[in-house]
Amino acid sequence: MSFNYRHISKAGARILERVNNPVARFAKGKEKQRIQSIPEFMRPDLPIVDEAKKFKTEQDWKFLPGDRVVIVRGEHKGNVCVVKGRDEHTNGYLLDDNGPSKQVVVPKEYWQEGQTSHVVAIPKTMTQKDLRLVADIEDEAHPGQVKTVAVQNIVFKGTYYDEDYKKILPYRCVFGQTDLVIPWPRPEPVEDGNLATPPEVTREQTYWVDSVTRNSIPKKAFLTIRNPRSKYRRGKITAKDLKFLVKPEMPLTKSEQAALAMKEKLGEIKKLELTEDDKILISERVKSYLDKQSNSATTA
Amino acid sequence: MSTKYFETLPSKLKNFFQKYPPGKLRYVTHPTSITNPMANPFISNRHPITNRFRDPVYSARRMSDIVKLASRYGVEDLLPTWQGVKLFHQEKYDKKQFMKGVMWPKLHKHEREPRVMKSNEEIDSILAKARVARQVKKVKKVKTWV
Repeated sequence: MSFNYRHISKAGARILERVNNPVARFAKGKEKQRIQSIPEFMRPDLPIVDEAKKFKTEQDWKFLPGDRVVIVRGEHKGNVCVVKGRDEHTNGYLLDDNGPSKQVVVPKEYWQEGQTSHVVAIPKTMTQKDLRLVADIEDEAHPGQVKTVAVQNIVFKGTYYDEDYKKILPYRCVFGQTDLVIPWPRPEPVEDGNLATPPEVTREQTYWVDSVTRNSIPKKAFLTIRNPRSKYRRGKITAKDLKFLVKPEMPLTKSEQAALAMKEKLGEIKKLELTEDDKILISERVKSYLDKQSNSATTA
Repeated sequence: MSTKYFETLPSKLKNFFQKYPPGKLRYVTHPTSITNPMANPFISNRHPITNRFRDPVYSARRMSDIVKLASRYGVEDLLPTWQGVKLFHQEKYDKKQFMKGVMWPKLHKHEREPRVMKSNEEIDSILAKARVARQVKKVKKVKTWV
């Protein structure tokens, strides 16, 4: 039975909305319920982190697949493992056989090639704080030999372009001794596909401009590369296009006609004009007023 | 009599007289049709078709400006009539009715206004008192009844 009946009725919409956007006090319980409903072989071992807290850059992750790390906490403390992968939903690292694993039951639909039993061991994801990077450095006591050490903390200093990763990466240094750089692990080489073109071929220049004034493309060849009758060409608007572009003239409504008639009528009204007599009248009034004022000022 | 005095009037007033000249006919005092040439520009008039009021040609603020200018040159009575009483300057202030709260505000003066420190000595004395109070350690109440 499908739950998507919203195109028919709005009944239960409030509850459906709450499934995706739960009330704050229920959110924690709902999340737990959701995690428990996932089959165990697919269920994450670590809590799912918020979008904002997810690791994005190499600086966040610190260890890339191929790095050697040592487990510093838990049942497998002291084991040196290789990072095989990472879980972006939980910021977790997947380690090799030396790391922790759990036995789960996998249904036959999800069996992998060569699997013979329902019960298989799958690696548990580990957090960054439980791991320390393992590196080989030069042994000062025995020159010419290398020793394997675990690095307490890592800092990043400066950047360089990595040819294998095809991007700019930061230098990974030991905290407190920044001149000691621990290189990033080499990624597994990706094989080119059948349709791939080698980079040398793409960078090869095959065309050279011989004249600035003369167009290298012959006039007759233009028709093969450009459509002169294309409707997308600028400055060519057909009658059909015009019909779409120009707004049709709508007949005026009664009120609009009345408004226009009124405007005309108002224009016809003869306005009063200021005559010479009016000007003289105003001048007389102004003069008498100013005289009266000056007289009162002198008497006072 | 020349029109010399008219020409010396401020342009705002002169322009108004150009548009609404003081003739023998008087502008009507009540709302009328906007098509009426004698319609008063200071009051709202009706549209003859829609029969709805239009805003006055001159707003209250512009009307006030013109009346004020006209009163300065003694030609107020040559303007169209306006509603209400126009008072200016001191006359306006004298006839103003103040609100009760403004005349007799609540609370005492010392309660209404923030306290202003009179001198540096006063500030110093307050700070000294506070310093002493900080130094005195609070003695915990001893439970004598236990």
